[in-house]
Amino acid sequence: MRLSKNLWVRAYRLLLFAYPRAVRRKFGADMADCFDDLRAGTRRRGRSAEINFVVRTLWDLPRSAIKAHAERFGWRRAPGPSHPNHPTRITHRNGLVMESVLQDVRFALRGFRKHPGFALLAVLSLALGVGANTTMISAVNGILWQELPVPEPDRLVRVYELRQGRYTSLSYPNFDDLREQADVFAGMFLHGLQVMGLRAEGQTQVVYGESVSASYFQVLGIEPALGRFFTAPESDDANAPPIVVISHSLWHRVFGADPDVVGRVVRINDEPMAVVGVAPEGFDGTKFALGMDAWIPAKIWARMAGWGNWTDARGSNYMKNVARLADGVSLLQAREAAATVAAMLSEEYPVTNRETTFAVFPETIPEPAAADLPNLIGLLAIAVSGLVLLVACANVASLLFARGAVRHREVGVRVALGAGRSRIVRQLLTESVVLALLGGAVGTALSYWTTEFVRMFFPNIPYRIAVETNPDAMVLGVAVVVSAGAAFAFGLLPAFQTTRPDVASVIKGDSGSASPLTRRGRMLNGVVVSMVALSFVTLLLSGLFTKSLDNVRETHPGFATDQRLLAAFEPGLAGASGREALSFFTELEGRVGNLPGVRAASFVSHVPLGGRTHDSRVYADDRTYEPEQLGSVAWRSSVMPGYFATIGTRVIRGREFNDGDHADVPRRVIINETLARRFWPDDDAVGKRLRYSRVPDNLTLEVVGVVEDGPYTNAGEAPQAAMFSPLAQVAFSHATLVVHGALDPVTLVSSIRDEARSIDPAVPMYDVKTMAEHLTGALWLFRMGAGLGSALGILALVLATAGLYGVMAFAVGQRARELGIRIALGANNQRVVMLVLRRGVVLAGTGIAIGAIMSLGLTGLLNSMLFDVEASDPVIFGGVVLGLGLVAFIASFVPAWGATRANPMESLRTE
Amino acid sequence: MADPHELHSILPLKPVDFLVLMVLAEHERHGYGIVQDITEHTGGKVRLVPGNLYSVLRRLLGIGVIEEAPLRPAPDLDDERRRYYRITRFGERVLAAEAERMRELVAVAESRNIIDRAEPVQ
Repeated sequence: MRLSKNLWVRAYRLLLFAYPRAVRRKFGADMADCFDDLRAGTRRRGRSAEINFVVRTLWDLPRSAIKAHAERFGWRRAPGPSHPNHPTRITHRNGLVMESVLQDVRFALRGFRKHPGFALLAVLSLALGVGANTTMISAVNGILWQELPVPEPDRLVRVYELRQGRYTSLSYPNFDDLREQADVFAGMFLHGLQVMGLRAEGQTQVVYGESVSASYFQVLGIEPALGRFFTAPESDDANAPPIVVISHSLWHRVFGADPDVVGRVVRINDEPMAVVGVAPEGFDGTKFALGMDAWIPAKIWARMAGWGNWTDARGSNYMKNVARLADGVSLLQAREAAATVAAMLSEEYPVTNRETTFAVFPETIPEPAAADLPNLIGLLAIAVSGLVLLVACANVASLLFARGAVRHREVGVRVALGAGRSRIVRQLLTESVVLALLGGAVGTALSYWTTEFVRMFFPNIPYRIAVETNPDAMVLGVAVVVSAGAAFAFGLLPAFQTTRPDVASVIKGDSGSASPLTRRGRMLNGVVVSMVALSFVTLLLSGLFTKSLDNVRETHPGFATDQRLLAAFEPGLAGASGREALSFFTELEGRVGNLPGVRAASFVSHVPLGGRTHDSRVYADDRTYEPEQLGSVAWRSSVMPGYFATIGTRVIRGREFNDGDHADVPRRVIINETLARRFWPDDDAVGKRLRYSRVPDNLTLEVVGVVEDGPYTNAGEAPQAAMFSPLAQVAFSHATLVVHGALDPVTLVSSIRDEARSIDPAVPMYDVKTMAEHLTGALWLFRMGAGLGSALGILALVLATAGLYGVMAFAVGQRARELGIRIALGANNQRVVMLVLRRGVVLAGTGIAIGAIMSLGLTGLLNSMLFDVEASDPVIFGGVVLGLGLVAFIASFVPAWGATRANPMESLRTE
Repeated sequence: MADPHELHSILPLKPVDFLVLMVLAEHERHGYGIVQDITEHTGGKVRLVPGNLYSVLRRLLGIGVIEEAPLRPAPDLDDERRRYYRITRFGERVLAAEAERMRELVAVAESRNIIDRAEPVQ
């Protein structure tokens, strides 16, 4: 796991609020820098050294913070001699300190027992705040920022080719040149995601695996659990005997953890392969979120898959890469070095490498282009949960203030009896630390529950998902520490306020009118106002968040989602060529089309939003291109006749493919609106021609139709160009059957499977789902964000309400004598309620106004993150104002109304 | 400044104050550098964290034995700017006086064979 560097420093900066402001102003930035340097330094020595450092820092924090406060209040001569026996030094000997801490803890627990309502409210507030944060951070961390479980994962980077703002993976020759010429990398490897048909121990199944270059395991720095990894000669020779390394998980699942698995032969895509090793436990490969089960040397895989001379094609981006930074090389230096090599290559190979540079990113960023939206969602989610934690802390602070006012007398008496102020502050602080620890513990327990809630949003796919959302020790540690630190920081103010009593007036008993209370009242008001403001911002954020995710979800996907069924077939996994696969598809399409209850059936090689991508650069044939001009990159798929009608995509111009578009006629193509508009904005695209090369070529594709746009790679993406070829002309050995059923198509699954089996029993059918499920799966990240966003918003509302109620109830309690007198003198209920209510309404109104101003300030920032909704959306804005106002009104009204019920004699007597 | 009375009111120094002064007597250092040097000098026995480091620095600044040097880039940290600290003339005298004090103590201990007599502490 990993928290990004910034998050660490930010967490530490937050903790610095435990120090007096003067110290923070002067040394805060230096301390944070020093913390960051030290953490990075210890991290290089390993995970345990880093944890050790963080623990020592946290252990020291309250001690040095108390020292600094003590200096400020003059209990210690601040800058001065430090001799243990120096008369100015006020201290306890160690034994006594321990003793008095235990005493304070016992006293705090006794106090909580006496006021269970206060303790429960405070602990629950903190627990909700901590729980929400831990859940959110671990979900985002598990999904987006997961580091590989290998040594020094933060030294791993990915290199991309960047051309006209578009990122692609490195081609093999570019990879090779970069590896040779840039010494900023200690090592580099290539890897590609491959779907494999695995037959072993009498089972056939589809698994995900990787084709990898020789140095894969060595660069990652991991050791096999069993056997060995690849050696250079055997992975560099395409004709070497095929070998495979299997995952620890597969070893357990399929081989029952048989210790003699090394040397066994399995069949992958119908090719026998010898198992040479087992990867270590917990290593799931380098593919984001999917569990890899097998690794095969890239050159052997390329021979099996018939990739031809891919190692010489500088324009072909078959595989992705990962590099490890050499010792002492920073990301910046690696970027410069890679850019230098790229500049040299673009001079040397102007055709393929023109205007191409290499971009280096940390490995944790899954795809620099595609990851923007999910990353923003992740950051936003963490920001929202951070706000919830702040609300929770403010809540506890207000409770402490309230309680401080009640204990005014107790403290006054203790001071009068000679207790030192530092002693009392320490005791009050102990209370808040105990509260924070209790809250943290309950929150931790909660977050184990809530991660189950997060898991509900995971897509239901037939592969092993390797996402860890359980909060691991580090995330929990951070959450508890942040909450403890925050409670500590919030606890300090009330503690100092409470211990600043005017002893004489307390003893005399006029606690109702003494000036310290006015000051405390003001502070209490401040806390409530900021709490309402914070929950305003939180609610607004979750509202906007939910709305924009709803918008993404409701965008017309460019296909129909009802009564459609998808089932994937991969004859290639049974060793079939593209041509043989086509006859399988044609046969199956015909048979399924004749089943009762089926309206139409067709095959498509790449389902929109299906995860597999395939694209090409194309040129308009009726145009001349300058040497430096490039064509348009189009997302590609191959389809059988009747596909668009079956899946429910509208054909806007021309026609869809029919049986006449077979392998022996000139090449034909159907394009989408975006591509048509790009090439022929003022003209009908039908009848025009495309080609693959910049210069005129014999191979041209005739446009026979234009179809509506849709998202192809990511839900919510900007419209991109797409082109569709007849599967008969551009064949694939895998394709997905799309069935349009008259009724619920799920009832057709078993008959479809029977038909497929009767054609070829060796072809696996997998990934069977309805179109609605497919879309839900593609939107899972968004659904999760929306669900959690609303949950957090409601949480913030509950916390703010509880806080407001607490404060109002406290205020009523405080004024019990005054109200009692008023009632005794004949004030009517309405007047009393108005009197109390006024304060609540003013506080809530101010909070809402401040929150609204803050949110408007955030608008510019937010607009870039939202999808189809303005940050100042009047409906959401107004809704939040009304909702929060109503809740605030009720929270203030209930205690106010309660005040009129009190017996005036009772309240007069208690004072 | 160098009033002998004031000097003796400061001695003896806390061990950690002594270490920090010793590090700064060699050359100016930034916070992280001080921690690194102390860890190195003591073979890893003393590892400071930012909290206590800056308590010590505040204290030493207060008694005028060290002073701040202007912000400048730290070559070992990718040239990010850091605040440097250096020892003052007064600080050098305090350090020397403390070292002298310790030497006298050690001399007494040595003359009585105290170090050789005891079992080495591990």
